[in-house]
Amino acid sequence: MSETSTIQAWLAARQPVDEIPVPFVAAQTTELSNQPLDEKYKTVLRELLKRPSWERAELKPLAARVGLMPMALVAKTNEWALETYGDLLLEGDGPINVNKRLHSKLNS
Amino acid sequence: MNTNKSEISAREQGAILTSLAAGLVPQLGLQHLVVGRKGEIQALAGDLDAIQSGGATFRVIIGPNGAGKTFLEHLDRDLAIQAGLVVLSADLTPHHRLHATDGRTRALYSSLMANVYTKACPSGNGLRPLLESWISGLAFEDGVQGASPEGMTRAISERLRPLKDYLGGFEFAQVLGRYYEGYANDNPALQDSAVRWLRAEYSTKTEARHDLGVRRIINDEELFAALKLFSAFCCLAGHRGVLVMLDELTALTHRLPDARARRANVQVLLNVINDCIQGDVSHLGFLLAGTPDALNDPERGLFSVPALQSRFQSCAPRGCVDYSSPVLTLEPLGKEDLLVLMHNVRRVHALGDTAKYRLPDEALEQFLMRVLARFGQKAVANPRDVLRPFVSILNILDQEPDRPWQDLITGALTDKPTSTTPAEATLANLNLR
Repeated sequence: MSETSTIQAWLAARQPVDEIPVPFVAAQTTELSNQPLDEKYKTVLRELLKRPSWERAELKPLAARVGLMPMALVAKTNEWALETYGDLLLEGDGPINVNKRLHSKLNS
Repeated sequence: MNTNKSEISAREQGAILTSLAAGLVPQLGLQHLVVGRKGEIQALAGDLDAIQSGGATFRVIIGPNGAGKTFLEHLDRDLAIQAGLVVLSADLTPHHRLHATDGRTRALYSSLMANVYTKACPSGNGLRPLLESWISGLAFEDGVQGASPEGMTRAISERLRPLKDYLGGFEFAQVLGRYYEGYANDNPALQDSAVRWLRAEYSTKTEARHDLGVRRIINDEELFAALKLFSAFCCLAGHRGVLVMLDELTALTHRLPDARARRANVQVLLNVINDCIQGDVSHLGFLLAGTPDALNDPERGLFSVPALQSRFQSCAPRGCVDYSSPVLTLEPLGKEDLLVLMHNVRRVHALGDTAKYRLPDEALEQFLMRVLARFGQKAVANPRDVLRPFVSILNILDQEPDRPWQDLITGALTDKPTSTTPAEATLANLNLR
């Protein structure tokens, strides 16, 4: 087995995060990321794509629409983008830039 | 399209090729490049398993410059975040130590907390997303949903009650409550103060009390305790543990001029190892890296301390490698490994599509022969000298696909290798050689 397939096999054998018992139900954002986006979230995503970059404070009302704090929105969006497109959609932490490569892919 | 099973994303391709062209180790996509090191990778993956299962690990990677320490560290970091761990990473320097009384240990902790890697934030800016993801998740819980800001602050304190058994846990919960208050009341300065506290950037209790109303700060003596606390928080937040990566171990053994400071730093290292071995720590691992001097120097190396030597020195018979040993010693890659590495880079360049390979196998072999003839063993010892011109050839063939590759290989490698040790680089800069 090549080193790459060793790594892939090891990763494949990992349990998903939500199967690990944790003291409190605190992993909702991670669990949500594994699900298809709901309509409300898609609307937020469309808004995000309208600008090349965002200040953290500007994300607050947008994130609140889906019940998240701004950087939680960034994390959730990126987890979804990584799983769906293998790339981050939002980069940096102030300002937060929309990844141009993914931008065109998502718009198409 | 002829693609390999292990897909390469455009993001990984870009990061890999840009880094290699600059002589740097890529930050991501390393699984597409990896050559050899099967035993080492399995050992590190085993450590990640142990951390996830609630254990503690301590591992040191030792190897000369160019042997692939940074590569292995980045690969381990990638694997760790894919597996749901949080990774903290920093370089040890004379100003970032394990032990100090003038803020330099606090500075190391600050540096670690400024480089928080998670799956959602693989670039290292993960602290705020980590905090906000947990708080946002809390807001979805039964009994908390629709709570007022005061109710949320109470819920934060309630949920973080288990942290109060840890040193500083009570204040940690208070600070997270203040962070949320800052969000709820549109007070970014309060949020910034909370982050500043979490990053150990307060140097006086008075200032922290003024800004946040807490009576404690993370100080020089509490590095390890603060890491244990942070790891406990990360587990509450749905992650599976924390891996702490500290590079440049030589900074502690060879760059601290004062013998007493060196001893104190090594003593902290010993305490951390003992705690990890004896099971007093959970969901926390340490990975350190350094050159062979950091271990073997009879005067300053870690082996000069009998207690550390007994914990670190392998008992494996001559000629055998015990990968379960706390020390993983990297040997330079062989010539065959170098050829495989070039194959891997070519595959990355073509995004795994064999039809888009810019160079045939024959070209890779010719290039390697030329490299070996030109630089000899030095090229094998430091692959970056090989990979930089190799990536350049691939890039040129992208721009000029009709150009014969033979010309490019003949024209390449006209410069001397650029790899130097830090000491050599310093001397070169000072024109002392």
